Amino acid sequence: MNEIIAGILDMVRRALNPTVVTKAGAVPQATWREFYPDMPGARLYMLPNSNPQTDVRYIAPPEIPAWVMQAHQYLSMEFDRLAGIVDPGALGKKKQVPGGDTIEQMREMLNTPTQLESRYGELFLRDVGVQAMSNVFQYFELPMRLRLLGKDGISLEDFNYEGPNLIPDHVTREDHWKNFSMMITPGSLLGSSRDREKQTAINMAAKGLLPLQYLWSVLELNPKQLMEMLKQEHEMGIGAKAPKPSGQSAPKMTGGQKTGNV
Amino acid sequence: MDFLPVGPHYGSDSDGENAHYATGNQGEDRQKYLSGLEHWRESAKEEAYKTADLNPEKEAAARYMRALGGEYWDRRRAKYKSKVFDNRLNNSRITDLSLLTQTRPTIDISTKIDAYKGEADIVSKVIRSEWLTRDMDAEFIRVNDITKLNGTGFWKIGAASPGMMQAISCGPDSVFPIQPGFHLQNSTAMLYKTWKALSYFRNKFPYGCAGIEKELSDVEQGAGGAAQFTRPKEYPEYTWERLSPAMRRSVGIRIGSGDIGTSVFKSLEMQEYYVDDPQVNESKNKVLMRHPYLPLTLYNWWYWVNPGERLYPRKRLLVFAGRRLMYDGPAPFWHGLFPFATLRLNPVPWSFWGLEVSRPATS
Repeated sequence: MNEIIAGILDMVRRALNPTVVTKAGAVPQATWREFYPDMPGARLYMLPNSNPQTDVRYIAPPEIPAWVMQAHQYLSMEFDRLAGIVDPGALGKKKQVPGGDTIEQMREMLNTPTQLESRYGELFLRDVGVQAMSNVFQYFELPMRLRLLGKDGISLEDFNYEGPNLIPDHVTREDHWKNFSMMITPGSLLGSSRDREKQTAINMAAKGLLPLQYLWSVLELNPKQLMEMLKQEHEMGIGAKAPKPSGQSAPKMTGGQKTGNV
Repeated sequence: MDFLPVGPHYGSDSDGENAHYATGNQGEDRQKYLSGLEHWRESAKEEAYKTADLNPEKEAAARYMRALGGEYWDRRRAKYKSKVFDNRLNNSRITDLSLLTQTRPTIDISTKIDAYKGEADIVSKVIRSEWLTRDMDAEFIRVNDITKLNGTGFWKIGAASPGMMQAISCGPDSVFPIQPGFHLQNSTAMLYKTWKALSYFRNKFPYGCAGIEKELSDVEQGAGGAAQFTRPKEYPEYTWERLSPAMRRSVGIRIGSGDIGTSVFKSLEMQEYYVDDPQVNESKNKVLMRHPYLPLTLYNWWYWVNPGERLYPRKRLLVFAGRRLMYDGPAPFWHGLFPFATLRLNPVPWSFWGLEVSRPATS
């Protein structure tokens, strides 16, 4: 592609600075050396027998065949397809403007290799994770766990005779990590999968099929902190109203139920 | 690969703090052991480099790097010709890598034993915390970048007390599998090669550093030669490294003397060999496998081996600074795996090495 573009640019330059030719004996050598055809007001001294219309002329650059541009267009599209590049300009020509997550999903759909790559990435991380899991048992001592996780980092095993560590006394310490398995959810590496998960959670929560605190955790919000803040707002009488407990108001009735004409 | 001599192990009458060297550490016995190790190291290195030569992307990576750096046109191209360059390759690389900027893989650690569920939760939270605090997400992008360029990338996974995890992204020029299967963990051994300052060895191996400067001067001389003359393509790296500076001058390609600093960066080549060593305890007593100098209270990966059992059930580690042996003993990880993970985004069934991802776009 770069060859084609560079070649076309060379043609452009040749068109803007065309080659000038003359025949021997038409123009004196000294005059020809001082002649700049692109200079405004350039002057050329010709010999008596020569004709300016025929003996001095521009050479037009060669025409680029149409199939060169077609090849370039094909290569561009093919490269974009292989690289998974989405053209937002082309999407803007549609009557509907897609959202960011839609573009992300389209890019992943267009670029099937990306999905394969992400799967290989997940396999890689699983190999890493198994070793990381063992390393946590072996190397993460209680003070560091407390620093990282607070009281959530304390285990009952820390108070064993052999402790503080995450390993029970009665097991072979080197093999304890084998009691655990590690999994990385397929497809979780790509950003769009998380968007889809969020959207599904929002839809389910709107229908009352999902606990609110679970929704918050899916939306990567802090459920504990949000619950505290909501409580405070309710006590202060501001913010969103708390939902009424069930059974505190009369059920809605249809017209027939009200009149008795069922 | 040559026979690997039996490594140091310690008598069972020891209380661990003053363990005696059961295989002998003085005089002729020690010399024999070191000489055997030297032979093994050379043969292992040669095999590692030959395996690396099988990587189809080894020579092509330089071409890709030039293309990504915008050096598309030949230097001999006529000056009057256009050198316009649309760096679509780099653009697509950045687009691809940007897809990975928000990766937070859903990691699930579970156990079938109810009593351990609390531990599973703690381990899971520690890994998530380390993922973010140690910038492992950025390191993941880096290893992807390396892999897209070289076909194969590695993470070297480390950990240390009192609680630290580390992942170092490496390419095939730093990590060399020896006799690999399709999976890295099926290899016979792994070589990790890097350069470290003298102070690194003095801090980490204070007991074995006497006179290590000799190695430094050797390497410095070698590096000086490399700065002047670079390896021709037809010479394998292991052959090139064995050549004397005089031979390198005669067969090498001369490059600018100012290209590589030689005396400014004094460093030593560190080689870590992780070996799946099948040797067993052939004595009638159980032996202690431990770090030769550290007190047992400072680390937790020492262990006893009964007669007839494997001396290195969780891999053997040998560390060399230049040609000097720094450590020979058990690997410091309970998981018993080679502490590496391989990333191949375009794996092929006929080779351990993956193909470069941009190959279809660049060819």
